[in-house]
Amino acid sequence: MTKDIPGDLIARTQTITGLRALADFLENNPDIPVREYGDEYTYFTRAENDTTERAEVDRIAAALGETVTDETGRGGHYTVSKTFGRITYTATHIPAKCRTAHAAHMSYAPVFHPDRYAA
Amino acid sequence: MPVQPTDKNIRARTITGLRTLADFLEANPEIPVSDGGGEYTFISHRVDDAAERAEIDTIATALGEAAGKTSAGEYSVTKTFGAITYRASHIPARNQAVYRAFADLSYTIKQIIDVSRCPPTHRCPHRLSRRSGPTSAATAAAPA
Repeated sequence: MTKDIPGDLIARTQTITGLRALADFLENNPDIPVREYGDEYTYFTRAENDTTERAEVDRIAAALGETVTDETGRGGHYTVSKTFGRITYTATHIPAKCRTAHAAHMSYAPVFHPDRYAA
Repeated sequence: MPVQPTDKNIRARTITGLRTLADFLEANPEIPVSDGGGEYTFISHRVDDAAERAEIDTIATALGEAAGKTSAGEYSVTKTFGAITYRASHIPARNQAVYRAFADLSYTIKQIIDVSRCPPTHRCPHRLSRRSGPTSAATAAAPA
């Protein structure tokens, strides 16, 4: 009898393995450049409503031992971060209102696609 | 040869950071990971498009992967490590100019919306700056 492997477990294993493999690769290949100011690994909450997503970020913040940054009052995000050397883990909740505004904003993006202005 | 950060510790701290994050995620299963994996992105910053393209080609050779144009018009090469992808990209100067124009327009629209939402009696910076224009112009146009 086969037992189902949770999808989250597969993603977690591949993420952990991938981070270590990239670290090994960068160590063994000094010609491959790295970012001067580091990079970010971002997790976006996906729940049925803003309240649940906010609660998830609060839970992650407690597990990380870090403080949440709340910029939702200015139309921003609800985030928590923890830095590991030059790599930062960030969990982000984007309020539905903010997602809607972003979608409206990006609806104009095709007008600005560089191919429209080919020389 | 790709441009490297001037601080040699940056490479060491990046490598250590990747390993430390991996260890942390392994030891703390309550910290979620992204289903879609993660990406480590290097953006080429050289004197011109030709030099940036050449840098991506050099990186592609070192990665053992093929570089190519993306749907967004960038010139990139990627190499995947499990759920983590290393990406090196060159953004042509013309594309950067178009993105800046879009960002500038978005900023202007946001300023207009912010002003329109301010109550008439609210002395916010948006309203003050809006008032200063016509007032100055009226003063300049007034007869001596």
